[in-house]
Amino acid sequence: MYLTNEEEKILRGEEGPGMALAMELLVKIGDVFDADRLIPVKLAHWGLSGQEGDLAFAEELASGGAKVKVPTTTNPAWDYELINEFNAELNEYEINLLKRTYEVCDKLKVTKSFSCIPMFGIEDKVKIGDHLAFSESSTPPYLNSILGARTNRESSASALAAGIIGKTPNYGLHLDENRLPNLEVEIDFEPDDFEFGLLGVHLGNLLSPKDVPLIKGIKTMPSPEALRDFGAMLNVTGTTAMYHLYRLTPEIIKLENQNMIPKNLEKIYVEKKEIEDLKSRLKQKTGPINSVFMGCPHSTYSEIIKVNQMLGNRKVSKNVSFIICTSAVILEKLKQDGTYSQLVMKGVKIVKDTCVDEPIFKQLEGALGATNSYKAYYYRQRRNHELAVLPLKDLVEAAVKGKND
Amino acid sequence: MIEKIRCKIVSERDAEGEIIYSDSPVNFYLTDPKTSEIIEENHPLKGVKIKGKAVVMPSGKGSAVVQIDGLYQLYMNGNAPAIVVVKDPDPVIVSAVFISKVPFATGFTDEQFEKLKKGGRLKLLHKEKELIYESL
Repeated sequence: MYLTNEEEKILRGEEGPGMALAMELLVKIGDVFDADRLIPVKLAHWGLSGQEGDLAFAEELASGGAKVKVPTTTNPAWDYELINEFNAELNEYEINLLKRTYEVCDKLKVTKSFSCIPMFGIEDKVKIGDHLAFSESSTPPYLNSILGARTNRESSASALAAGIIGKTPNYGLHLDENRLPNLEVEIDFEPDDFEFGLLGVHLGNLLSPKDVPLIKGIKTMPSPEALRDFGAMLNVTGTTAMYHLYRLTPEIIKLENQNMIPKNLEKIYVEKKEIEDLKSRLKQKTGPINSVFMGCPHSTYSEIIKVNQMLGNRKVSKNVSFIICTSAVILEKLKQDGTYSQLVMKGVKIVKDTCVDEPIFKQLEGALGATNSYKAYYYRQRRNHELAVLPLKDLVEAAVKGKND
Repeated sequence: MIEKIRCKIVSERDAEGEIIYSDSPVNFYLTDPKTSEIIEENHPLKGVKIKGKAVVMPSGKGSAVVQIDGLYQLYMNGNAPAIVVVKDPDPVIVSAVFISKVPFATGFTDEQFEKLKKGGRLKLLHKEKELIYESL
């Protein structure tokens, strides 16, 4: 990979060991993927985890004097204020990891957004063709496909390094030729929001890492929640960072206008029945539930409003912890309009800065719960917490009844 | 038989180890850092210890971060593999080997990779950017 004089100087350590380390990682990645050079990025998103490996690298960058050069946001870990509420008996090591995470964010001048839906609310900052470096795997599909911005599916470390240098190696989805559709997916029905997530689960299993599917059969632009879940689930069962929705998303519209859509693409057909089968498999686990998890990825404002309406005057069963994870910005909005206090009275806990796959929810492990997210189901399984996966309406009913039947 | 394979290397040092080939990607997060044993349910190599071995696999696996932590925990416990060899790299696996300083090789032709599947020993020469493959 070609480096400018200025980039060479950074690599040699002339701007400190932190910058040199970030540059070294970008150069290694650039060489592995045959990038020709580094290109500037506008924004970066560090998919931090509160895990040791990722944190140790960030600390080495920070102690070497590195700070981010372009606005860099972060994924959630967990909110320290929840420790008493969830009565989680966390050990010193677990608590210390969180403290170190907060400290290193401040040193690196990273914005502590602690949100895993950073692709929402940046539409005014991001234009078609802008280069970004995002490492929450559920965000590249939205950024690439819907906004027409360009990001690879970065690792937590490579996204942070890109934020510090302000650049990323020029390869993969930064290049026009890798953004063209290479196969077609024909869908014979119009999925609802929940079914879009399941479609992601289904296609993630079928697609290969570099595939950019052209999806046909969807007539109107899906809701932000449907797009969030579609992208997230594609990256639970697979690694798809971009797709096109025929006649809906910007790059395929442009290609069609120029008569440039590749022809004779291999076809995958998805029938409603396949999604229905998946749906019935995922709700199979029945019986009393101890918890309901929403917000994997984080819930949107309108989704939480919907939950409030669906509950009406009813309360969540006292045997159920109903947890909705969202961003601090959305939580604040809910507090201001009164929804937050209404939901608290109905027995719903809305938490900020927190990921569903964190030790703070330890007390809920070892029993059956429910969620509307396949991703939450997949990751909490590792923590010995089985979850039935239900559409939002059924999820709210299960929360009130205290069981999935 | 001994053969030189030119490839892409991420490493600041030479390394050597016996090949463990895995058809299914190894997620280092699902290994036991104290023993280096693969603990992932239904993994074809479940129960195999990877410390000091040349782990050869088709690609990486898992989210943007867990692979990094998994390899780091092995490294901190002195149980890291000697070499990681991958056919189709992704930014996560490259970041993981970089952070944990595990010598890494990629960039093979299909025929070269096919040979490695058969097992044997690998020596990684970082300056020469090559692997020395000794078949069984």
